[in-house]
Amino acid sequence: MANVDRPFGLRPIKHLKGGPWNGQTQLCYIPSTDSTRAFFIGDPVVRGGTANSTGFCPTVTIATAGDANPIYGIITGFAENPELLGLTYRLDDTGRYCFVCIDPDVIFEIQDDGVAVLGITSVGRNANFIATHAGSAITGKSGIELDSSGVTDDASFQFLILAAGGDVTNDVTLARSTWEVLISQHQLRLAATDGGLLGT
Amino acid sequence: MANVDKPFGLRPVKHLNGLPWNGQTQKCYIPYTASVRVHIGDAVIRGGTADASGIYPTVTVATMGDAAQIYGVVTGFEVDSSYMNQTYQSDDTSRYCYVCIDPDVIFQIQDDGAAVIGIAGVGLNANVVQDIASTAVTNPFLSGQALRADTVAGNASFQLLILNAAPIEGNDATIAHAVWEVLISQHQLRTFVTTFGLLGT
Repeated sequence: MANVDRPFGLRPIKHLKGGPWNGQTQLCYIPSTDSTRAFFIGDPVVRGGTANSTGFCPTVTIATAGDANPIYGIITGFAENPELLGLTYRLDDTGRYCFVCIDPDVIFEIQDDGVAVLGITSVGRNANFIATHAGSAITGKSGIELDSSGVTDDASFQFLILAAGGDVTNDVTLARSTWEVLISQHQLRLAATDGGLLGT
Repeated sequence: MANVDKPFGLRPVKHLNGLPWNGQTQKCYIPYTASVRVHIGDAVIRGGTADASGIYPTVTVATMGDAAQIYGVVTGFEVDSSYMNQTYQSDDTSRYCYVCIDPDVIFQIQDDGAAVIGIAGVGLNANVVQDIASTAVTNPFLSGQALRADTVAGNASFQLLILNAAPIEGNDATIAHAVWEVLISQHQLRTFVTTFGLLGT
């Protein structure tokens, strides 16, 4: 049975130590001046270079997809917006606080984009993310996917594929599988262009 | 209201995984030959040898400035029967200390007030500076080290990465002597490439 084409961005599931993800995040701020696009749960972000007015919450913006572009963390949720209580994402051009998983040792799940069938030989290789789809204004989930067309051994890529996702319905021999990945180009690890986690 | 100018060195507060600091340290040894005074909160580096048992590596106060690595931060001292109430290590005396060596621990540190960093400093790099000479530190004998405020920049060879202002009530990040949460960028337990610390943006 084909895998369901339902991207959700990056979803933290566990730590490298093996324990389930502890749910801890850093409170960050997306300023209203950020006109990149709407932000969704599961979107990868980078530091924006400043903070909110108190300095307690660093600003973040959407990470760039592709080779050698680092990632600071993944949005796991948003602080309540009293004016739009049901809004589960951040509207473009509005300020909003978000929760970001910044631990470089967290393993994430991500669905591949189905352009190529990765198969089991992609385990241990590197990949980038791709932003073909917008996020969902209904579920609030990101449309970010793993770029299946360029999976190879290249430490400057953004992810290291550790394994296929453990869901019993996930068929790794077909397109649109889910994968467990570690962020290879992380802003809280050493900043060498090709100094990520080399696959193979 | 002005921030209180009261440096305390580096204070471990939590891990990158978000949990509070677990209090775990490595017991290290400061030999009397080091001829320095060490306080709780001081950044230290490995001394290149160990005590007589070989179990406890020697450490000495870290050099402050660009590309100077840090091994960890002193969080306490073994009781010394000769100086029961002394909470620091005197010059020319040997003492065991506890050092937080985890490269993924986030520390709080006060800036030295030489410039106002402001919120634009979040995400940038900085160095450590000896704001109060170790011999001039007084009760409660915490470190006189601080974050050097006048050279904050996006430079991966600097010693610290500023993550955010410390969320402490009364801490005003828009004026001098603010307290910041930082990660050690040039750490002796990470791969050493002079300019490849954690690059700030």
